[in-house]
Amino acid sequence: MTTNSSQLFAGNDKLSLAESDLSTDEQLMLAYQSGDIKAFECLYKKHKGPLYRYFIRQLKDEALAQDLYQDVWSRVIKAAANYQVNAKFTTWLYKIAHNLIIDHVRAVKPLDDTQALGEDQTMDDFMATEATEPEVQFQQSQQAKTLQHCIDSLPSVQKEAFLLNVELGLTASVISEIAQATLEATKSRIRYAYQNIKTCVSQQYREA
Amino acid sequence: MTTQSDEEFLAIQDEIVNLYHKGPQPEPSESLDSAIMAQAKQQLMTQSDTEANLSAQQQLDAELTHKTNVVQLKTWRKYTWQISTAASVILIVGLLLVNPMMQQQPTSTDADEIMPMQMDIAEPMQAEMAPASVAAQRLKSAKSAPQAHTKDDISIVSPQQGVEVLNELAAQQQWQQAVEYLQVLEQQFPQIKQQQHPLYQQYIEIKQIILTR
Repeated sequence: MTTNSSQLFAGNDKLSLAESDLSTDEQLMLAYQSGDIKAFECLYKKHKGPLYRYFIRQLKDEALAQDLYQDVWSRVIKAAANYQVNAKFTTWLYKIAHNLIIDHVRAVKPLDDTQALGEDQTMDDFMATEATEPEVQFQQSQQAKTLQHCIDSLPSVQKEAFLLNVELGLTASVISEIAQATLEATKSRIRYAYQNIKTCVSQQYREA
Repeated sequence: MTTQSDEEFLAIQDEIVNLYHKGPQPEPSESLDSAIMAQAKQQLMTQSDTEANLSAQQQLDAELTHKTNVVQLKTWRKYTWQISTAASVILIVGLLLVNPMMQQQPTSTDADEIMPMQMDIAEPMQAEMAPASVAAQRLKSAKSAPQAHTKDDISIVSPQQGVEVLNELAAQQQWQQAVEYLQVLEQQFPQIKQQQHPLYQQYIEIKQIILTR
C-alpha cells in the first residue's frame, strides 16, 4: 500500500470546499439530506468496515464497540438535515468517533491503556483471550494474529493514529485534526506505532 | 528507539500495512447494518412529514387569511390600538410639559402628599445639579411663599426650595415668617434634620440664624 507511504507526511491535504471539488462522500451526504436513501446506503457501505474496525481494534469490549459504532451513525443521520460541507466527510465522521471513544472509554481508564507485554505476561495469555472472540478464525495466519497482538499492545494514542492511517490511508495532517493533537505529535505517534509493531512482531517471531 | 531514515520507515510501513490487510477484517453484523439503515429511513420519513405538515399548515393559514380578509384594511386601520396608545401617551406628556401648573402646584391633597415625596426622591440630584432656570423659578415661587400669612398657606415643594426661602426670609429679616416656614419645612421634610441629608448643614445654619434672632 505504497500510497500510504507517500501520503504519510504530505503537507496540506485539506479538501477544497468549492462545490465543483466535492468528493463523493460529501455529495452522497448532501443527496441523503435531499431525501435520497440510496445515497446514504452507498455512504454507509463505503465507511462501515473501517469505522467498525476503528472501534473493534481499540476496544476490548465488543458490545461497547458496537454501541459506539451505532452511535456514530445515529449522530450522522440526525445531523444530516443541517449538514454543511465545512470539512471532509471522513474527517467529520472520525472526529465524532474519536470523541465518543474519549467520552466513553478514556475517562474510565479501561483495558485499552495497554502497554508492552509485562514480565508475567506471555503471548499465550493473549492467545487465550483472543480465542474467546467469536470472529477469530482458526485458519488465520500466525502472522496476522501476531500483528493483532502487537497492535493491541500499543498505547491508545498510537493505536488510534495507526488505525486511521492503515485503514483509511489518512495523512498525519488529517489524523491530527481528528485526534485534536498537533501535527508533530501525530507524526511521532504514527512513526512510533509502526516501529513498535515491527519490533513486537520481530520479537514474537524470534520467540516462536 | 533508534532514529531511522524515512526510507527505512516507509519500508516498515509498507510491510506492516500489507500484513495488516492480509489478516481478518471484521465487519459489522447484518443486524447492525439493518438497524442503522432503518434509522436513516426513519429520519427521512420524519423529516418529510415535518416539512409536509409545515407546508400544509402554511397553506391552510394562507387560505384562511385569504377567506377572512374580505376587506382590505388601510394601514392605519390595521394598527388602531397601537396608534391610539401612542397618541394618548403623546397627549399626556404634552400636557405635562405645556402646563407647569400641574407640575408645580398640585391641587388635590393626594398631590400634596405625592409631590413632596417625588421631589424628595429626586432632591440629592437636584441639590447638586439644579439648572439655573429651575433654581430661579423656585426662588420666584418661593418669594411668593413669604407672603403667606398662616402655616396652612405655606407650600414647600422641596427641601431645597425650603432652605432657599428661609435664606431669603432671613435676608429680609422676616423672622416670624421664617420661623413658621422653618416649622413647616421640618414637618414636611423631617429627613432634613438628619446629618446625612445633603442640605442638613445649610438647614442647621439658617435655623440657628432664625432661632437666635
